[in-house]
Amino acid sequence: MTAQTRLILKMVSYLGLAVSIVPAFLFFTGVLSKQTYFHLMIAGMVMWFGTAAFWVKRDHLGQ
Amino acid sequence: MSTGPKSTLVERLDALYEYDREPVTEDKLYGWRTFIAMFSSEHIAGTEFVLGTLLVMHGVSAFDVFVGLALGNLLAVLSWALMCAPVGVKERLTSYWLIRKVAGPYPTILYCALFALVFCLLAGSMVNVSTTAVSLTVGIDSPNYDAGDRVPSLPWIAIAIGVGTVIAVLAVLGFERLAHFAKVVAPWMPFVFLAGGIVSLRSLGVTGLGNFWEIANEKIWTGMPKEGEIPYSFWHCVGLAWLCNISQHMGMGDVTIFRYAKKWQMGFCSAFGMFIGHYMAWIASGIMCAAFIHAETAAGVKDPNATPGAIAWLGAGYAGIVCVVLAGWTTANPTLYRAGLAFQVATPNWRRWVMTLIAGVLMVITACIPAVVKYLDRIVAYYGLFFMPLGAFIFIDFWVFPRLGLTKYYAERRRLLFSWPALVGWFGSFGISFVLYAKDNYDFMGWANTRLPASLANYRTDLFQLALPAWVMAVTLYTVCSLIQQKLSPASTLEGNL
Repeated sequence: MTAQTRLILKMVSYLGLAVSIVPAFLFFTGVLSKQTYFHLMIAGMVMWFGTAAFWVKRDHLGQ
Repeated sequence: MSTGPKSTLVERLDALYEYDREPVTEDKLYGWRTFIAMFSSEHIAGTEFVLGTLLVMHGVSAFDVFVGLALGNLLAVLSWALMCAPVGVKERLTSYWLIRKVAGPYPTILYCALFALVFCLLAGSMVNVSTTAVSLTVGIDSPNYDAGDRVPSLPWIAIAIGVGTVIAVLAVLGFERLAHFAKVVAPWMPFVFLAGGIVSLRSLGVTGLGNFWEIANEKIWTGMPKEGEIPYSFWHCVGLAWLCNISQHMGMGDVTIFRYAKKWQMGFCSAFGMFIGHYMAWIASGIMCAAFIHAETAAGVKDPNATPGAIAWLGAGYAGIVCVVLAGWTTANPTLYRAGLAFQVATPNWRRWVMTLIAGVLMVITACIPAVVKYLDRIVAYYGLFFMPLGAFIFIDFWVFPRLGLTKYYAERRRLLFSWPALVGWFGSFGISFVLYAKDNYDFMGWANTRLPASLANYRTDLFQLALPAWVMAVTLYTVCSLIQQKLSPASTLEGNL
């Protein structure tokens, strides 16, 4: 995997985490409906899992 | 060392842990980031959905939760940093070898076998958590213990078997990839807990910091237990947060991890696990639980069943359901794997996959007992109190014995099969703790109040308040017995033979 691909994957992963939390604040302040919040949570989850598996490293602590 | 058919139980157990018998070398040490990531991911699991909920049901107040959990988690972090990590860094051995040095091989076998059984119980509670989420999506009701369900429905059992089978088969197929997958899942889960908590606050009527505290006390942590529940207080919150991982910190289980640390100060990385997993996540699941109960009560439901699946669905929709399934699954898998390893040792050369499947069957049976999740906090407390003493002895051997002029790791130096001071300290501490709690809480132990001295008979305590007394009793009994043992038979008399 090239450094550039890795960087892009990481950016999408972190964006996925942001999409998993920011909508909650937007719902809390009345900007989003609950349905939209639920959809965005799914989007954040897909973004995270679709990319993080490729760059999160393994370690061998305690194994 | 022989591992053939004629090998002894002790030899087989040693062979299993042979690869980590030597201290970790300098070139294999890890830095701060690894420990922060490891603790952040290890301590957020499916059971957080249960424990946060239990605190609400037992009627703690908002102050109890916010301050009590902060204090309890702080004590846990200090226990990791000041007690466990320094021993791990200096000795660089696993807890298995340290317990063996202190207590001898026979108590170590007993420790491993009992740990395996507890692992099955804990893995079962995690399967239960995952099953509540899967069953919700297919419209099958989870058992409601408070409404009298002591056995789940057949369709629910079928789902639990399905979930448990997947976990058991994957644990048999291999641990490495699953450990990696758990590491991928971990950073995402706290976001779901936090999001679910924030969203649930709005449905409870919180509009900002201005009315948060008022609503927290009125609708979430009301100070009033649910009917039939024991009331919990500030000290229950402190005790639960401190006790729930006591076998890892004061019980020294995590020396296995800290043997890879460059510095003992990395023990403070445990703060990331505690304050994300056992503070934020417990508070968030408590908020989600309260929101669920209010929504159900408003809809006319008489006895709302606040299962992990149900509260996560309300707080985060399908992402919440996935979070519950994965939170249960990723923690049940390594737990089951370790249970299989431990059972393998205690059997006559049975294959590891057979033992893992047997552990899996025990796990599924446990998952189908609603009482396990209902009393998870009690189970966690018993587990902590029971397994903590052997780790306490490692601490005493390491720091105190040299100052008292006693021989460190006496059982190993004398090649004893068991250390009687360790057995007295272990079972004495747990036995006394149990009697002090059980005399007022179990009918069959009521007789103790008539036989104990008045001061002890009048002493009222709870499992969660016994962490420190149990530790003090364990190390006192162990040290006094070791003084007697080493006075009668000093290690120096054998020096020439070793």
